[in-house]
Amino acid sequence: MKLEIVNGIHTTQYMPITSNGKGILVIPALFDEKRSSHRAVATFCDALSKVGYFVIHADLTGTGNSQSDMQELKKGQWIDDINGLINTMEEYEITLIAIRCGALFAANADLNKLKKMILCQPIINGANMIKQMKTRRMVQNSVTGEAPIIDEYELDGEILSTDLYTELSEMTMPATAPINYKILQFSFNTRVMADFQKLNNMWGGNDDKIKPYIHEPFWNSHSPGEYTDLVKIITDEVI
Amino acid sequence: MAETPVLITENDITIAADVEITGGKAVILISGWSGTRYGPQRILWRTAKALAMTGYSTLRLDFRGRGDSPGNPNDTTLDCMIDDVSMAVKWLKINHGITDISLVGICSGANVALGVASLHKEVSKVVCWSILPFMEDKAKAAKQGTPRKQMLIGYMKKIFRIETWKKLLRGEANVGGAMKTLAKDKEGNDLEKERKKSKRIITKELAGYTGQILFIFGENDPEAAGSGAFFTEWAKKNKIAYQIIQIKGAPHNFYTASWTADVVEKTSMWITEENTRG
Repeated sequence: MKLEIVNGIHTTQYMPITSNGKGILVIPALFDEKRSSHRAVATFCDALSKVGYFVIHADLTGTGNSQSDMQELKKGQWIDDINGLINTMEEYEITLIAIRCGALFAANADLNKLKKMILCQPIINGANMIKQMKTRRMVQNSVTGEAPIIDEYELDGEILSTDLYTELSEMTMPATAPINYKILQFSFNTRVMADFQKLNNMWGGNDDKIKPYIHEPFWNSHSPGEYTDLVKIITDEVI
Repeated sequence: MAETPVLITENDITIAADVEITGGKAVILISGWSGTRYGPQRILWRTAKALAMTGYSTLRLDFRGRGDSPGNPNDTTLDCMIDDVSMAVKWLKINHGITDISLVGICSGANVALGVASLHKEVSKVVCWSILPFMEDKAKAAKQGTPRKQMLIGYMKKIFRIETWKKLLRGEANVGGAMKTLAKDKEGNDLEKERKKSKRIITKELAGYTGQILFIFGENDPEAAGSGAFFTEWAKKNKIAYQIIQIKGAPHNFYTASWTADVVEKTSMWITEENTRG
């Protein structure tokens, strides 16, 4: 494993002992879900490298360990980040694994050079996600004490630039599937399956394109463990 | 200047870190039990950035088995975490000649910081955000924290207020998930609690510490009253220079941008100001 800045983005790179010539680009969840899922993602990245894949786990600009702040980001920054990372992996046959809100941005990037994408419980509508995040925060406020001062463009304790907030609130999945895909569901919340089905219908996919795994959501706050089930699911799906 | 990612290795243990060397004094930023080296709301990244701008070198690290660092998460104990930060202390000394070091830790990371300070005399300042008492002191701290009980009663009243439930039902929040989060024991299950125990009695070993300690608590953190009272009594008894700051209205994890900025500012100011020990 090595840590490297690529195009200004902090990446953790997992090198296989014997390469199979295939690469995996992982675009993580965003906001607090990124932090909560970090270890789980690192664990499956490591497991994939052990079966021959070169894996890049990236922190998009202004997130995680990357420099800058969401308040400084311009429209299109995260999509540019993803496109830039894909270009650095040209020598590999690339599979994209994108998680939650990371999947929303990744699906809108230029994915022509990729073999397939695996979307883990993707957010399919930015406005709905913002609404849910604000509701969750309202519940927390109701219990904690007096409602705190929260910036108009604040999500999960991070203030977004007007550009980024607007982009996120207007963003939806593209009308046509960018490339071959798979949608994985990872929570007890079965309500999301209807949304995934709608997306799959829009993209013209058959039922095999969606796989419901009843699994504790790995992007919610928890103590890290070995993630045996998650590693098996992701490895099977990639292979 | 910007941070550079590094891997620090010693005795087959490797930890992932980000370092910015800007001066002869350094601050090591320490995450909570299950956290990453950037922290909630990237509070550790933000603090490192603020300190680097004042000329302090900074180092943020992932404990083994956490974040990007290799290792089995279930093998990581409080003492392992103390060893990992000790590795970083030594690394700064060997690679950059830095011997004046301060530590900033959040939640369990604050306990780790005190554990490291008890081993390394070069640690001149420790900042403890939302520290909880060490496992062996829990019972005593709970007795000192009557206000916590009142706060929990207040929480329960709020939970059962009709407006709260109206809001919940109107929104799309996962009610089960929210309740699970609220009911969760911050210290985890029994196995995890065991891993959080040190083999040393750190509060005893830190007696006579000549550096300074700043405790920062959220005013609405139900753990703060008991923990604050416990560490106040301990610091007074052991003649340790300390200060306590409360962040108005904030809970345990300072979850808004405004609370986060307040914690970052107060921490940076306290670290960078001249020695105020009386």
